[in-house]
Amino acid sequence: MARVTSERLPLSHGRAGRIREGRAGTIAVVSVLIAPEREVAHQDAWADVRAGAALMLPMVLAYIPFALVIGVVLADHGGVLVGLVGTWTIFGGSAHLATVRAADRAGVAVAVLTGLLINARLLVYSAGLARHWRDQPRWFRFAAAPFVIDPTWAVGERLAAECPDPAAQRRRFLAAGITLGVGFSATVAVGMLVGARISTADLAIAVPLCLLALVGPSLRQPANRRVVIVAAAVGLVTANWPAGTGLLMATVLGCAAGRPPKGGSP
Amino acid sequence: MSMWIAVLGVGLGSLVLRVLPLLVVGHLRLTAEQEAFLGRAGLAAIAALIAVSARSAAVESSALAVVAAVGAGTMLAARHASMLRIVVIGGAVYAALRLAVTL
Repeated sequence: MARVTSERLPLSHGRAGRIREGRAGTIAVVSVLIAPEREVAHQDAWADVRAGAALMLPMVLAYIPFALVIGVVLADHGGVLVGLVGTWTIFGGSAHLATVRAADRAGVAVAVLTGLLINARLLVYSAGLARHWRDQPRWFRFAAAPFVIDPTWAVGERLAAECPDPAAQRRRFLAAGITLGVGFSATVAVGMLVGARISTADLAIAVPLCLLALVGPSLRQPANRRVVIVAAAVGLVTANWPAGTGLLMATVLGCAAGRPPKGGSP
Repeated sequence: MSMWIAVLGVGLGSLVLRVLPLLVVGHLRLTAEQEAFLGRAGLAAIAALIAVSARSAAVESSALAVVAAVGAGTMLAARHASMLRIVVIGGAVYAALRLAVTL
């Protein structure tokens, strides 16, 4: 910003410059020019934050039934505090549910393994986002990491395609992640309070419906359609495999199905 | 106590799963094919999760209603409908069929 200002004010060049007005005058003029730019940048930053939150808000609303299901189940397993801590630390509904159920039935070791196998897909989400975040500062990659999950992966991919400014991408992604975290954990808390008064069997349909919206924009490309069809089919066939292993197999085979044929178009 | 250990253990492990690729992949020089593979991996993971969660919902309630709702949701998603719209319309299809089956 200061560099842009000095280009507008040739401070050190001959008659055209304002150097003859003395140091105080120069600073006054520069600060007058910088102040509105700072204000604009400040407004832009808030606009980015609002845009990021707005991107995530419909997803938070759509996730309400899923979060209620989780809240009801968590109320029966372990208690409110551990449940709420888990929504922020695990930050993944499916893995959270599987972990608490396995902890009650099969013990800690199996529960941890189950949760991590289900969350193994986070490796591919993070690796996918890392391609777009090569030029982002290290602090951002640390700050953004805890928010990486299905909907934020979709938001990150979308921002990479539509938002060329790295700073704006950072603000929007973090705003989206925080919006998801706050909205999701608040709804989980409501589910815990309401408890058994909700029928979780009928709310479970919200999970595949929410996820469908994340893959929808990719379905126009034939290669992506192959990925989705094969991964979904393998996911169904391997649904009874030990927790998470079927998901991994489906992910790998789905990716392989999306490879363009040799010598052909994708 | 065991619940706390399990939740914190999965939380810590999940953080490692999230952070490591962000720090490592950014420094690697990937071929175009590897880049494309990573681009498809997220899509494949979500597709598999859709199938597993739909199957689980079908087992817990009505398979017919779940298949119809997911079918409607897929058509809407292919037309770039918003998540909220997909959940509301898919949920309405599901509720209608559940009601019809119950009656």
